[in-house]
Amino acid sequence: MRSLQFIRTIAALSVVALTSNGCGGAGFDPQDKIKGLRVLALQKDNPYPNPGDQVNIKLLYWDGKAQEGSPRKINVQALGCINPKADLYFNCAEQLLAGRGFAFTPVSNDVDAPPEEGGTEAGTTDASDLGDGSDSGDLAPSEGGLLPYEADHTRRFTFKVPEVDAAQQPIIRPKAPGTPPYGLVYILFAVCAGELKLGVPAVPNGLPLSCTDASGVLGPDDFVPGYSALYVYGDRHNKNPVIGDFLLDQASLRGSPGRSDSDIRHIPRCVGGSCAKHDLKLALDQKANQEEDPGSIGRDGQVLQEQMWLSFYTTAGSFDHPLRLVNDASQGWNEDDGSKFTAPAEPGPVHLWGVVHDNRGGVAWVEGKIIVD
Amino acid sequence: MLFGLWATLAPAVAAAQASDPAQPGPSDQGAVPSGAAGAVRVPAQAAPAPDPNATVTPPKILHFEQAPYPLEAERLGLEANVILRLDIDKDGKVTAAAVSEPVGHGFDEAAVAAAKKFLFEPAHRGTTPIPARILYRYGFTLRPATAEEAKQAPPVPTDSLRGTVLAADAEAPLAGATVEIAGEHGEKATVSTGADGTWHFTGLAPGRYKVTITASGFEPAHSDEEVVEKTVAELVHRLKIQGGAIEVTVQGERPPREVTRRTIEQREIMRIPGTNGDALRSLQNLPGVGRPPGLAGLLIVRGSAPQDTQTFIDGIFVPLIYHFGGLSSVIPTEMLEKIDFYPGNFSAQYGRVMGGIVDVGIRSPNKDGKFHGLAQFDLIDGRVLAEGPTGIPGVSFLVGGRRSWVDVWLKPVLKETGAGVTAAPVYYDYQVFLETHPTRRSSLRAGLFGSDDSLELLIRDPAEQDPAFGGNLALRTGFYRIETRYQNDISDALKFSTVLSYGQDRVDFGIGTFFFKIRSNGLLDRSELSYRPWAGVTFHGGIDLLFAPYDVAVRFPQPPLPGEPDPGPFASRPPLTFTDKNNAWRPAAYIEAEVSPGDRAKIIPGVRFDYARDSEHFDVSPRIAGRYDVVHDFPRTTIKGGVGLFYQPPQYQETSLVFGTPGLVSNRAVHYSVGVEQEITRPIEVSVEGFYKHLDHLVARLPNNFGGYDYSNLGTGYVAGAEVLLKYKPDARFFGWIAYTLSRSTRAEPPDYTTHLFQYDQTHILTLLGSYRLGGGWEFGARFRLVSGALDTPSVAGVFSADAGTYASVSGAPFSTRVPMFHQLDLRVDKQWRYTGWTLRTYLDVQNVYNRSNPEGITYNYNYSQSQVQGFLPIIPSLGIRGEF
Repeated sequence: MRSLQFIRTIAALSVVALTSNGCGGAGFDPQDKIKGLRVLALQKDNPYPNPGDQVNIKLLYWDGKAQEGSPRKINVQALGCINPKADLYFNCAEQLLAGRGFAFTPVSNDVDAPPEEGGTEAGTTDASDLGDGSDSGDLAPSEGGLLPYEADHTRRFTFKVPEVDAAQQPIIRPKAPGTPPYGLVYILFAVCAGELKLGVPAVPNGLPLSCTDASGVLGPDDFVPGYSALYVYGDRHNKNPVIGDFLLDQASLRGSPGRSDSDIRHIPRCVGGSCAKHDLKLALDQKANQEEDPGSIGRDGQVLQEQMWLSFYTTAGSFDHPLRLVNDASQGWNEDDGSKFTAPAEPGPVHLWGVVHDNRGGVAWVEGKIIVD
Repeated sequence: MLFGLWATLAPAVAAAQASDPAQPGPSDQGAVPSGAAGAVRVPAQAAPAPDPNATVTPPKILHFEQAPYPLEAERLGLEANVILRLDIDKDGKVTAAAVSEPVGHGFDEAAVAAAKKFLFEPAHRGTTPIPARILYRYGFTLRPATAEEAKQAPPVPTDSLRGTVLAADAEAPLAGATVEIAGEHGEKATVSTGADGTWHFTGLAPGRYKVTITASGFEPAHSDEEVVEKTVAELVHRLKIQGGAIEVTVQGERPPREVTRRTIEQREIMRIPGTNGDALRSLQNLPGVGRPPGLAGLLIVRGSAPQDTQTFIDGIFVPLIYHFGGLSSVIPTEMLEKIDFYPGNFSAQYGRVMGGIVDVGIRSPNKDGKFHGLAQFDLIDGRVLAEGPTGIPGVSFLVGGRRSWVDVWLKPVLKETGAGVTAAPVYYDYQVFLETHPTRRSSLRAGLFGSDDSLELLIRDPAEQDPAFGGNLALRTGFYRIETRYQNDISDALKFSTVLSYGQDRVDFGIGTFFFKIRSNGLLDRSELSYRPWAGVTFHGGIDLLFAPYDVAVRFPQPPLPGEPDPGPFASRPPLTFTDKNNAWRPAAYIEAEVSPGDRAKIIPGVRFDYARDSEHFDVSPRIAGRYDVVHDFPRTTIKGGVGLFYQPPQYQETSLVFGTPGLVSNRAVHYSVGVEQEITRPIEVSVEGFYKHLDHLVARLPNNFGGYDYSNLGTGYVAGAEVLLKYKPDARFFGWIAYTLSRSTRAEPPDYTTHLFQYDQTHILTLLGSYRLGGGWEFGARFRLVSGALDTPSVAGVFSADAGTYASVSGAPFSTRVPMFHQLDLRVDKQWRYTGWTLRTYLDVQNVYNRSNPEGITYNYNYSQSQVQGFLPIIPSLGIRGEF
C-alpha cells in the first residue's frame, strides 16, 4: 500500500508538471472573476468583411468597482490602423504617431441620438442591424439593437472598411507566400474610468497611453487597453456564434439582467463546507455553430472546422472550468463544454456571462443575473 | 634469475568490510579476492569488546619472507599469483595460511611456507589490536636481467609500449599481472607488472599488437594497440574482479585533436545524483554547460542556444536525444562506452554548429564468449539489454530496448483532470548492433537504433493565456538509423574509418488548427582517411555528407523569436501555411594535420569546407589548436589553446519562402580558447580554460510591410568566460568533481543593435558532485548546484486581445531581469547484491532534497498586473531496480 501511495504521489507531481501552464499562480485573482473595470468581449457583426463593407462593432465591458445602480463614468475610445508592419498590433503606433490612423465612429446607445462627432468618413451611424450577439428570445432589443440593461456596459462603433490603406495602396495586399491575400484592420480601444491621455510611457517599452483621474494615473482595475483584428479577405466569410440560452441547473437565465430581483433565480450562498455546485451551460446548437473553415487543411489533409471555445465570467463566486472547448478543429463538437458554479459566501446580486469565440474573429455572448441569498 | 613479488593492501576496502563483521548475504562470500589485497574479515568471537563503532585499521606487513622460486616452474618459465587466506592474530603473527586458489607447479607450497613467516602490524579497531583474516596475493615473477647483466647489455632501447595495470575496484596498482603481447607478424612477448603496477616493452617493431592482461581473480583485459616508431603509447588497464558487474575497461588515451575534450566514463554516468543514471543528462554537470530549465534536456554550451550543439551517436547525427524533451535519453547508458564532449574549438571533422559537440560512443559487445544481460525498471520505464556471441564465429551482438509505462498510470490521472486521452504518452527506443573483426586490424559494425514518442489528448480546458492551445493535441516524434561502421588500420601509416547510415526523422505535432509535420529520409556518411608519412606527422582527411529528401507541412502563425515583443495570443492570428518537398544537401570535406614536434607538443591545424544547398552557400572554416606539456612526466602540466572559424547554416525555416527569407548565409563564430591542465595527484587534476566567442552573421529579422518579416544576417554577439574543473578520477571508491563556469553571453540585433544578454546567459554555474562506495554493496552520492537565475523578459503591462478573450503582454526590455539564484541538492543511494552469476541493484535518486521552490521564471496573472517568481520542481524521488548477469 505504501508503494502504491508513493506511485500516486509521483503521478500527481508529474501531472502538475505536465499541466502547469505557468499562469494563474497561487495568490492571483482568476481571470473569470470581475473585480475592477474589465472588457469581456468585442463583437464585429461581420468578422470577415469585404472592402467597402460596413462593420458594426460592439464592445462589452463591466465595471466591477461600480456600485449596483450607480455606474462610474467610463470613457471608451477606439482608433484604427491598417496593415501594420508584420501584422503586429503594437506596430500601429508608427501609423498613429504619423497621423495615418483613424478613429471609429461611436454609435449612441440611444436609437434616436445622432452620431457623435469625431468619426471618419469611413464611419456611418447605421446600426439598425447590429445584433446583440445572443438569441435573446422573448426579451427583444428595445433601443437600437441593445437590450436596456446593456446600455450602461456596452459601447458601439461603426465604420466602413476602406478600399485602400493609408499609403493609398489596396487594403488587400498582394498575396504573400503561405497565406491568401488579405488586409488587416486593427481596432485599438481603451476603456478608462477617468481621462485618457497620450504621453511618454512610465516604463521602457510601456504604453504611450494612460488613464488618469484626480488621484493620478489609474491602474489595470480602472483602465483596459485592448485590440481586435479585422481580417479582410475579399473571398472569405464568417459569422458570429449563435447562443441559444444560458442555463443554470437547466433553468434559463435568459433576460434575467433586465428583470427585478424577485423575478430571477435565487441560490443559497456558500457557507462553510456546504457549497453547492450549480451546473452552468450555454445552449449552443451544433448545426448553427459548427462551421468548416474552407481555407484550413489539417495535418491529415482534411478540411478543418472552426475552433471554438467559451469563457465564463462572474462578479462573485467561482467556476470549476472557466474556459471550455466548444468545437475542436479536427475532433469536432465537444458536448462536455459546461462548468460548475459555486456561489460566493456573501449574499447579493451576481452577474454571469458566457462569451463564445471562434478562431476566425467571431464572438457572441450572453448575460445572466442571479441573486445569492 | 630472481623472483619478484608483490603485495598491495587496500585499506579502505578492508576497513569498510571489517567494520561490519556481521554483514550477511552474497557479498559475504569472501572467497573471491576483493580488490588488490582482498577482504579483511574480523572473526566475531575474537573481538576483545572494543568499541564497535571505532574505525578498523587493516593489518600492515612488517616482515616479508621471500619464497624460493619453484624449480619446476622456473625451468618451465612459469609465473603465478597465489591467493592466500591468512589468519593474523592480535600480535600480528600468521596463525594460519591456506591457499584460496591453487595454481600448482610448487607455487602453492612455496607461498604458504613463506607466508607463515610473515609478521604484520595487527589490525586495529580504534586503538585496540584485533585478530583478522585477509586475502593475500603472493606473486612469483621471473626476474629481469640483473644490474651486472644489464651493464653488459647493449643500450636499452626506447620503450615501445608501456602502461599501468590497476585493480578497478581499488584503483590500486596490480603487481604480478601478466601482460602478453602478440604482434601481427607473429611476435610474442610476456612481462609481469612491477610492484607499482607498471610494465613496458621495448624495441618492438612498428605494427599492431594485441595486448592481453591477466591476473588471477580478475577478468582478463584486451586491447589492440599500435606501435609507432619514436612514439610511446601509454596505456592504463583496469581489471575488474571476476564475477563482478558489467563494467567498461577504459584504455589510455592519446592526446585529443581538440583543445578540450571532456570525457565522462560509464561509472560516472551511472552514479551522478539527480540524473537517474541518464547518459546525456550527466553532461549538464560539466563546466561550460548551462543548467536547463526544469527537467528539460537542453544542452546549453558556453552561452549558445541548444540548437547550436550537435549530438552524435556512434558518429551519426541524431535529431533527438531525449524522450519528450527531457524525460530520458534515447540511448541507454548501459550501451555507452563513454561520452566525449567538446565545448568549443573542436576538430575540423565536426561542423555545421557554432556551439559544442557531443559524441556518444557505443561500446562493443562483450567478447568473453558468454551471454550477458540486464533488466531495469523504475517508475517511468523498463529496459532490457542482452549481449553475447551470435553463433557465427567472431560475430557478437548487443541489443537493447526500452518502453515507458507512464501511460499506464498517467492515463487515468489525465482523465481525472478532464482531458480526453486518445493515446496516453508513451515512448520507446531500441538498439541492435552486430560487430565483428574481419581481420586483426579491422572492425565492422552494423546497427539499427531508433526512438519514438507519441501522445494524443483532447484538452477540454484550453490554456488561459492562449485558448489556441486547446482541443486536440497530438505529438509524435521519432527517428531511426541503420548504420554500418567500418574501421581498418590498413598499415602502420594508413587508417580508414567510415560510418554510413540511412534513417528517418519525423515530427508530427498538432494542436487545434495548427500543426507541424516533417519527415526526412537522411543518408549520412562520415569517412576519414589518416596517413602518417613520417614520425610525428599525421594527416586526416575526411568527408561529412548529409543528404536528406524531406516533406514538410506547416500551419502555424509566425512565432516570435526569443526576446521579441509578445505578438499576442495565437488564437487571434491567422496561420501561415507551408508545404514543401525537397532535398537537403549539405556536403562537407576537411583536412587536418597532427604535428608533434616532440614528445611534449602537438599542433593541429585544419580546414573544413561546407556547402548548404538550402542556403546555396559555401563556408570555409580554418582552425588550429595546440597543446604543450610544460612538464611531461607526472605531475603533468599542459598548456593548450586554439582559434578557429565555425559556421552554422540558417535553420531550414529561416530560408523558406514562407517563414523566412531565401539567400541567408551561415551564422558565424570565431572561437578563441586558452587553458592549462595540471595533474595534482594520480587521481586528481585541475584544468582552467578561458574562452571567447565572437559571433556575427547571426540570423535576425525585421518586420516588413507585407504582414511578415525580412530575415537578414545582421545579428552579432559574443560569449566570454572561464571554466575550472577540479576532478577526482573514478577509482574503486570515489569519483567527483567541482566545476565552475563564469560567463557572459550577449546578442545585438537590428534595428537598434543594442547589446543585451542572451536568453541562455548564466553568469555563475557551480557544480559539486561526488559518489563514494561505502562497501557491502552500498554507494552514496551527492550533487549540489548553484547557478545564476534564468533571464526573463519582464512584462510591463497587459493589453486585452479581444478576439482571443485573453491578454497579451507588453514586453519590457528583452532579458533584462533575472530570477533569483538556483540551488539544489540531489542525493543518490545505490545498493548492490551479488549472487552467483548475477547481480541485483537498486537505487534511490532524490532530486531537490531540501524541497526548494527553485525559480524558473516570472509568472503573471491574467492581465499582467501581478507577478511572482515561478517555482518549478518539488522534491522528486525516483526508485529503480536492476538485475544483470
